[in-house]
Amino acid sequence: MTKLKKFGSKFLEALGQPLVAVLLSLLIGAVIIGLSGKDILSSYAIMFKGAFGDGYYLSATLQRSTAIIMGGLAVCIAWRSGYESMGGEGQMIFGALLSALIAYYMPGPGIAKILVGILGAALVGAVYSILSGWLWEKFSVTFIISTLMMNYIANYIASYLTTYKVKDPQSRDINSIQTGKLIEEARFGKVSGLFQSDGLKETALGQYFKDFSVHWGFFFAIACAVLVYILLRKTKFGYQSKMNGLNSRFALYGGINARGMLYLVMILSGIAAGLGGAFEVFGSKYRYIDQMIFSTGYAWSGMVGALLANFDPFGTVLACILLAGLSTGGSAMQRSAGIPVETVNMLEGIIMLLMSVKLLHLIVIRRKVSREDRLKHEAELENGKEAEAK
Amino acid sequence: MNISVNYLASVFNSTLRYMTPLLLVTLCAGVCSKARVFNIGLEGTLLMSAFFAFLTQYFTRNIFLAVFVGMITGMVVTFVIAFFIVKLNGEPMIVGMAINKFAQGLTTFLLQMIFHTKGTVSDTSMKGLTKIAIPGIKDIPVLGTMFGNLTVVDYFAFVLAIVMFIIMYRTVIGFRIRCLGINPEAASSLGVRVPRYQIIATTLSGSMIGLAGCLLSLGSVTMFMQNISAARGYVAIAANNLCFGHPLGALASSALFGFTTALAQVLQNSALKQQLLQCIPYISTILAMMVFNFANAKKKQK
Repeated sequence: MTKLKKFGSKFLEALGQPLVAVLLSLLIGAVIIGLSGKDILSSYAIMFKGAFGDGYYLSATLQRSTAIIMGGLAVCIAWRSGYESMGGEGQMIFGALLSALIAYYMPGPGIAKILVGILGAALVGAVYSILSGWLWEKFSVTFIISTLMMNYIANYIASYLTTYKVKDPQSRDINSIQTGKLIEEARFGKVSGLFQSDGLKETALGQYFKDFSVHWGFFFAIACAVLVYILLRKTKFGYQSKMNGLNSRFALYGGINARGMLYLVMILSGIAAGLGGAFEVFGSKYRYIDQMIFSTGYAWSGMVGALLANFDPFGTVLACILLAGLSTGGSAMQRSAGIPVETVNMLEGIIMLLMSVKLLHLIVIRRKVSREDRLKHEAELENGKEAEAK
Repeated sequence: MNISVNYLASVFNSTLRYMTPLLLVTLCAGVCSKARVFNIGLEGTLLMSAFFAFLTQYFTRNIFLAVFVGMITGMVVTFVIAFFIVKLNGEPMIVGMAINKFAQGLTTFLLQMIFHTKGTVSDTSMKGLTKIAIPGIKDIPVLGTMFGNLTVVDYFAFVLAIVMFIIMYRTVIGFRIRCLGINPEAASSLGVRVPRYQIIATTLSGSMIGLAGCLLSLGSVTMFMQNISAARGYVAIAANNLCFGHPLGALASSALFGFTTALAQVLQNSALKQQLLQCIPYISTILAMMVFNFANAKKKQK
């Protein structure tokens, strides 16, 4: 019984807060939809159907979640170690751009293009991330200033390069600012490709999976989550980084090489974010399109996901899929109910705001504490009276 | 020679115009940091107040009401931030980013619901803030350019910097605010209700962000576009770090960043492409922080 109770309270602690946050934000979203004169229930029904309604939509959601998961993992690694880096966006932009360029310009077979592209993306993400770590270590420029500024800088530089230097040579349209499209061999295959072999193509299974857009990048992202889990939970580094996040002075006292820790954490989180950009290029867009990371806010959604999961890698994956569902559902809502997809941004903001405070603690524990306080106070009064009487 | 003097005068003018919104936000950041409310939601606050000021002006054509609404928006949003941080013990970093994200979503949402566009809204029949031309200076060639095209709020921003200095360093209220930032326990033992003071001080200072928002959407140009605040809220945090939250120092640090933004504008016809020029304010923010922190660390070593 006590075991069950313990499990229950653990469950409540891990899932209660995110659930309350998501539900409350949906409630506030309902108010906003209601105020703009649309039908709340049908809008949400469309949203849910457009996100998880059937296999097709679900696969679109999973496709979208790939980059978000990687952004979330980057946040997991960095924030858990006490470095509140928000540079995932900039790292993702450079990762996407570089991998698109490598895969487009490098000669060789498709698989080599993909591998070198991924390597390049990881490298450039790590380097850009190290830069903000260096700014912190050498010049104590806080992460919020350095990383946010670097996000803007990355976006403008990528925009400059795609406009003037590496623009798609085949494109005649002046307005499409993008790099050249990757050849078929240099893309991640669709998962539906499994069922498109000659034997399976005509069967029901083949037909069902035909239009599914989820690609192998999603499974790579899951694999990355497993790696991050092992790294954070099963290795010395994971323990040290957690200690560093909880109390950096204590960690220092315990003999942690703070400098090495900082750079290692920055490298790992940079790699994760950079890979996110590469997966988006190889899996979905097949090129770098100007503003493609900046305007979609993948890195930010990833941060919200990591917060929802309290920086647990597997939780982050689930939360990121949920958030990706919100935005694919949001697009569906925009198409058929005329509600702008930006509503989803608002909902994410509200979720974040609610996750910033310990909601359950506020409601449950505060009441408990105040009751205990009162009892204690009363007891003291009693004692005082007794003392006086004596 | 005359041309280059005029050129410099116009650089000076755009520096002034870029600096004033930043100055107002930096002043608010100063109060927040003195009161120990780590507020990084300045960006979102600025965006929302710019939007609602614009919206009010669009529908009512009453500039006073628009400025008022802008200030109220700034105060309400800052109140929410302060309440979550101080009363509910929220993680400041997350509260701030949540507000920024929410602001981004809300403004684009409303932009689309009301104006049916995603980019820029402007209405040529709309009037912005009243522009002031100082009678004597207006007709002098160079000085005229230097101080042309400035609105009431631009001038008021400079006045506010001095007013804030007097409030923070010459009155009891300011003394208490600074106290509770330095040592909350001591302040509370002297009878200052720390949380209440923190919330009221930051909320009132939020009205300055409201004014800055009005400057953005109703200042030298009357328009609103997506992300009109363009990271000014974050730059203001840097500017505030440079001046240690001192209102008069804010004049200098916001002038520095105003100048770098103006530089990006001025160099537009040069060989450098626009996208690279747009990086200048952000790069210079990082550089300024680097130099400043480095010099400070050196000083401490001695």
